[in-house]
Amino acid sequence: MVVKSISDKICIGCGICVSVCTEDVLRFDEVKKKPYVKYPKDCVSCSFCEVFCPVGAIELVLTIGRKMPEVW
Amino acid sequence: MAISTNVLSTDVLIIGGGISGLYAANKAADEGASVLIVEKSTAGWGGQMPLSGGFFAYVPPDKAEDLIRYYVAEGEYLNDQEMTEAVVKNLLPCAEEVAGWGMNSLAKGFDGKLLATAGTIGFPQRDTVMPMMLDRALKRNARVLNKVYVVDLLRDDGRVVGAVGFHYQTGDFYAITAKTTILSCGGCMYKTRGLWHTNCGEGVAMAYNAGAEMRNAEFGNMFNVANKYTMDDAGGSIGAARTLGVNARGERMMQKYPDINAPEGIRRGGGMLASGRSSRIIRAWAKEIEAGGGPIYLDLTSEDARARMPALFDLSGRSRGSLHLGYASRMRRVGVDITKQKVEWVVVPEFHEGPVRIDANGQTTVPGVYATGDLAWHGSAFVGAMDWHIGVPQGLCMVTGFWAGSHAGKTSLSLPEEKINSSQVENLKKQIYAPLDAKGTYSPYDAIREIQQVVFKLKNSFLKSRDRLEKAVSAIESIKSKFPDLAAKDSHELVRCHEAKNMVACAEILYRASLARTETRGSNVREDYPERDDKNWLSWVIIKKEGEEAKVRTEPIPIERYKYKPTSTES
Repeated sequence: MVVKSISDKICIGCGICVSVCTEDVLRFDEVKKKPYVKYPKDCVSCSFCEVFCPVGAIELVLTIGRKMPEVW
Repeated sequence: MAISTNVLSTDVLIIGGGISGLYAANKAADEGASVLIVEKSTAGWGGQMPLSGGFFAYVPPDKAEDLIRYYVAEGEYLNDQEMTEAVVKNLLPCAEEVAGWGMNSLAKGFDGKLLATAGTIGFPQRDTVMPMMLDRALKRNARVLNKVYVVDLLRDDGRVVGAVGFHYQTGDFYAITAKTTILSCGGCMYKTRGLWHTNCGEGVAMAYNAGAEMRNAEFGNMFNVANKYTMDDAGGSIGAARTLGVNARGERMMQKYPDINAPEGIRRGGGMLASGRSSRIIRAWAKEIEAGGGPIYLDLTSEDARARMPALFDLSGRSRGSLHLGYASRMRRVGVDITKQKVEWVVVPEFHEGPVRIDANGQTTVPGVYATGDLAWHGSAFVGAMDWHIGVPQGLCMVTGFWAGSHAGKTSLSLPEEKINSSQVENLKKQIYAPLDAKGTYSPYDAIREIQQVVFKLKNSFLKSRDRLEKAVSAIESIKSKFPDLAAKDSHELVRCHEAKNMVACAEILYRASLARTETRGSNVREDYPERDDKNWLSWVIIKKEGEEAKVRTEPIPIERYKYKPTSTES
């Protein structure tokens, strides 16, 4: 998992993070009017959600040595 | 899942809302055509451009010939030289046009040298190119469908007449009829790693399945280097690693491999010197590691490194020229201080497989469908046997977007409205949603991983031999044979299923083309045919789907017609 957390306290519910997420990791909860992490294993650490959040509500963790098939 | 069906109609359908699709949208709208852009993410933020580092190569008219000669020499004569010339000569007019639309930061990077780079074209901020292009297209009544994943093309008697897809989040079905269709959705990158993940060969597979010709596909096999911790190459660190890497014995190893530099006479200045020889750099790394010289490190602990490459040490957030966090920031997140410790770098797959053949109008070989940008990186044959070149794909995206948008826009005005063929649509709909049927047991995540286990192997995809290529083809075929069992829990997983299918089509194209080319040229490194063979191989490998079969043929390059010919000493 790469998106560590979205702070509901800080988040203003603008939905930009959901828009910029190409891999559909983030979804928008229409009742709470807040984004949430729905498909964590698909995060590819592009970091757009964190970079474009206008209020700094998203924290990322970059996984160490992501397990991908070996080249050798 | 309740699925609603939406039927839409347009003059020009553009699949992909990245830089190329947005340029095409503007040009088509300028012709007076109605335009619909469909994007799996969000138009204006989509595609590779936001990740690309912001480079965009263009040259002034008096330097154009130097650049053409350079591309042909580095493309090892597998270029369509007329295409090379057409692309190169249109780079500057496209840049100027976009600058005229309000993209002012582009012009500032232009310094009159052979390859100028404009550092900010990739920023999808409100004041830069992609959102600006989107706004301009919207003002000309272009429509946009975001979060819709297009799966297949509609056909009518050999002509492409639109496309079908579904909504990533709701699963709703979309059938779109179009007089002309432009594929602008990137090549295939097999979800190799962080950052380079977006394009899974959707457009390549759609064009291939519609019967379009693929060309130069054997060069779609780019490998690269990445830091071992985050497995990416953020913030310009890659250039440093490729040239400054030290082996386990502390040697600056690239000095041992002079062939990573282009020969005298076609050299260019600056740090991009070797980027046309990317595959030679990877061969050098592979050789070094195989000979026991690994691991390889990027050591930036000296004061000198800090002074020479200040951008790599920037901790303020974004990396220079692109959107993601910079090198020092990323490394700090994983507990590595690059000023205090050297960082291990490894060889990783990247892939930029874009073999769709196009002409200088952006048309594929199938009527009604165009391809632009990364999709046609190899297929346009404008860079020949090169796997990749920094800054240039962005230029191709612009130029081909310009061509396809203009031509498709103009053409569609004289074509009749397409009618929806309900039985064809129903059939495709059934196929698209089949993995939602509870009977399947094959997870798309397993499928993608199995595909990666084949294509990521350096010895399958980069250092090739007949034996291993044949095994790779059968491995891919065996994955494909399990596809009727693919199972998706929801629309999100349904996208993964179709990504797996598209990747398999691309892998087949890559391996079949590689098998056909029995020589080593550019990034097609055949260990069983280690020499370049100009006598037999000044030809393109063309692949086309006929029925369920991939037909492979060779087509001689009309080298006698072209300006630049290989000399006998080079062959």
